[in-house]
Amino acid sequence: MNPRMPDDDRDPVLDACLEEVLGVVQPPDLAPGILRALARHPIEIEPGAAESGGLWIRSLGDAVDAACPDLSGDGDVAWPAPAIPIANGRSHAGGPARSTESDRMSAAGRGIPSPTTERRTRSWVGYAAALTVFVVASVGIVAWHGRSWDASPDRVAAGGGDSTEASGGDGARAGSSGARPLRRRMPDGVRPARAADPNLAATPPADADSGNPPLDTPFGKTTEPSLPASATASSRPLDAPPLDAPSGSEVLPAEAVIAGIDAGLRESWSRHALVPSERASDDAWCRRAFVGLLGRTPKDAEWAAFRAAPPETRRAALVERLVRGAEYADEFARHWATFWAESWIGRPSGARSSELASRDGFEAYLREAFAADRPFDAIVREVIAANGTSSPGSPSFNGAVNFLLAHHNADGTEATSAMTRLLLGRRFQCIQCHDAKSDGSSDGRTLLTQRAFWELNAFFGQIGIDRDPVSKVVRLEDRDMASDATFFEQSDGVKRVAYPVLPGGTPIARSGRVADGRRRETLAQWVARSDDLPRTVVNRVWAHLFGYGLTQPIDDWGPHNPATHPELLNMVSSQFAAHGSHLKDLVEWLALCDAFQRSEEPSEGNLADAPERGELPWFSRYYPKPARPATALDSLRWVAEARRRGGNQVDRSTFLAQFAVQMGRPHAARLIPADERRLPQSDRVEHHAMLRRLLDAALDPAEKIRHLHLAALGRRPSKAELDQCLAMLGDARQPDIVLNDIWWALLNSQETGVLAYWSGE
Amino acid sequence: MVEMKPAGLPSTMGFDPLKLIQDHQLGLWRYLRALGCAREVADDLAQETFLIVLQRPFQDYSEVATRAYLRKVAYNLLVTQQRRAGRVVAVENIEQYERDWNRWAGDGDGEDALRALRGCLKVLGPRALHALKMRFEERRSRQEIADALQMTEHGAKNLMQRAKKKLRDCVEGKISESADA
Repeated sequence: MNPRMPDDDRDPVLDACLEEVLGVVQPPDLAPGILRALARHPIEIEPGAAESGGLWIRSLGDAVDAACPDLSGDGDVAWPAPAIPIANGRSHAGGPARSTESDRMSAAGRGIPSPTTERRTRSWVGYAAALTVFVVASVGIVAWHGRSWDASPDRVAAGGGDSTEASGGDGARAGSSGARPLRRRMPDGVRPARAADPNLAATPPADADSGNPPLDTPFGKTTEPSLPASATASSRPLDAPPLDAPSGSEVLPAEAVIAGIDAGLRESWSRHALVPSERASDDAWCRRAFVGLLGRTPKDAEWAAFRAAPPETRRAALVERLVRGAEYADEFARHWATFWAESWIGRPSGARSSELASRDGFEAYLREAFAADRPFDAIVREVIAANGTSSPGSPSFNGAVNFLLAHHNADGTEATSAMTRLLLGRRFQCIQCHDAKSDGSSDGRTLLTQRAFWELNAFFGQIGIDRDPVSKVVRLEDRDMASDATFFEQSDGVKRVAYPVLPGGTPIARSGRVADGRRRETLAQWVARSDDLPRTVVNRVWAHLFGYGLTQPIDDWGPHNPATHPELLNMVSSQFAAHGSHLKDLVEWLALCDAFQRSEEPSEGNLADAPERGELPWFSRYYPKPARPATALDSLRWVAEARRRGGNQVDRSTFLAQFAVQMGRPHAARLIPADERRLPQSDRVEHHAMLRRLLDAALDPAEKIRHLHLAALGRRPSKAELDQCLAMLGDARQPDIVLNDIWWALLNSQETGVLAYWSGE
Repeated sequence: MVEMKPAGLPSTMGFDPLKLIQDHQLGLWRYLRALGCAREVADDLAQETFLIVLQRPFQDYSEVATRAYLRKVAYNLLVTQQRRAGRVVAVENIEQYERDWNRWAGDGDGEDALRALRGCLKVLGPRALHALKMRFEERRSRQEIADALQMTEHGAKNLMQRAKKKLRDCVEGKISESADA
């Protein structure tokens, strides 16, 4: 019961409602955690229930697969799950925050054994084992008189290969049983929902007894012979890119890169018998370029200048001006700072003063970086290794720290997962709890281990965070670690230690003292040189400009998620790196490639190119690209002629934060097609000050409607549209409400395609 | 006498565990909160309930039946958890809370009750609303509330009790109205 509430106030029904209504307590999204928890348990089908249960279990399997694909194999393949179902809070990945509490309340005999019972049993056996160890050790000390026994973590980790159980003999037994592969019991005749994955099927289970998993590094190191090529190829619907793409490629001129992109697109159109759409009209393309590159619609004068330019060069000239022109430098930097801040820390993060991260601080840092055209590898180095304070104007301000602050939690697991996913396109959160995932290595055979996750996590062990109680300034800096080792617990209860090891298997100095080395600095250097970084950046920018990435989702490389255009992706990524990882180069190439010039209208020859129906995107037409809330705001701002240099960031953050959603899903907002979901209704989104200013302006209604059309659509209303809007305004008692509805209707129109945002990653 | 027909057995073909969770998690979580569970406990018990239900073949007869079944499992889990924790909790109180919530939420997920409550907050005076916000939004102690409102602690307690009574009456009135309508 709620201990905070005194008895005399107690009215749980009303109290619960008040806490929710007044905004303190919000319902959680339990689905991912439940499905993950289910994935870790064998599913018992009661005798006689096979007929009715068969389809049920298949549905459940599908749901589990969808929730955490790396947890699932096929029905005949052992799930990489331990016998003891739920790991402790330290190593439980991705589930709801309170999952460990619920785990303790599991009841025995329901298929999921009660962790409470397990733990209690283990603890008793553990005590007995510890006593036994103590006696044996004492005898040993007496027998080997004078010989010292070092029980430091180093020694513990060094024994028996990579590591040794730290919890005694009980742990050893648990390990041997815990690592035993479990099988989902399937009723006769029930086929698993997913096709067999030869990579996983042929993978021997990790041997916890040896403490030395056979395949151990996240990015490609293997100690087992590779599978035959046919086995790996069969699992790939398309040719997956070799994920060890060549780095250090020859630098090609921009024209050659653009020609290479076009060739890759044409090859895919030819292979899939697609006829690309016509070239987009100049007006449509101009709006597209402004929205994509600057995040706002063009102004009247900009339309006019574009139309006045020579037809054959006007598009290239406009891209050149938008990307490299001094007059657009601030807007370009601000737009891309907003985009990357949303991508890296999510829209809801950092918008409230109670949070550690400062969105304004992060955007300010990114704005400055993009304005200076700083290379992406340098930016990534800084966001991983940064020290300083988070808020602009504070002493030793360094906005780069906000990346780690936004993903901070007590044990650094959030930062580890976010770093690998957002910067390298690898989803590791699931291996926080368990071994074995088929990795995206070219041999399709490499496994990821829980140890590898924690070795990566150890790089964040020196992070120390303080919040000044008076000024509320948050400071992130490296500090000496209390222990050099990072401890984690396997799902079977065995405790292990991990030290920082770079992906690929390169260990670094184990000392946790800052004077002996800054771990994050070492990691940052490695990430900045990784071939995954340019590929991830390219894919994200591609998705931003074209509506869909070359993989879906865009930050999950691997044979399970092959790219639609692997050669194209490899070429652009390697050229991006070869050109120095400058965002402006990449944006320029993509804005001038063939796919960006195509009309949104499908032709008879490319009706099959319909990613909005769940098909793979082939970019034979330009997909209606959703505008972003920031675009709506910035367009409105210039229409209201209230734009200020540098932006009203506080106002801006308040506006953008409104697009956060409840029921979980805090990060990585992604777009959904316009016809699936609409913007929240205006009564759920407060009016922005900019809109307010326009509504209050001393303009006649027709002029206000023209302004709204210009802001939302980048054009003036037609006569029919204007008449219709004026008719709506005619009898309105509260014209402001009608104008506000017109604004949101325009944003929701097919032409604009502003979409609801939600995070579903 | 209305003839009771057994509900048709829906095909398990259409069963979607994810949909089951998404459809019912909100109502179940609010139900547990209304029984007096702290947020963390409600999270845990709701998750545990779905785990138990999904561990065996599940027939989704109807939304109402499923909701009732989930509530029953959750209720039993709560009582079991309280017993395990060694707490003496009067079951009558929990039953009373359950009856209250059933009256407020009916067969829904409680959204109507919350909507009614939002409307009812407008009938409170500014001091009472301020006191409740400090209590439920800012988690301030009664003494802090009293200090902020420049009254005694006893006065703050009375103020909040009266406000809550007013809110409860208002919500129940709105719910009765909508039921009558």
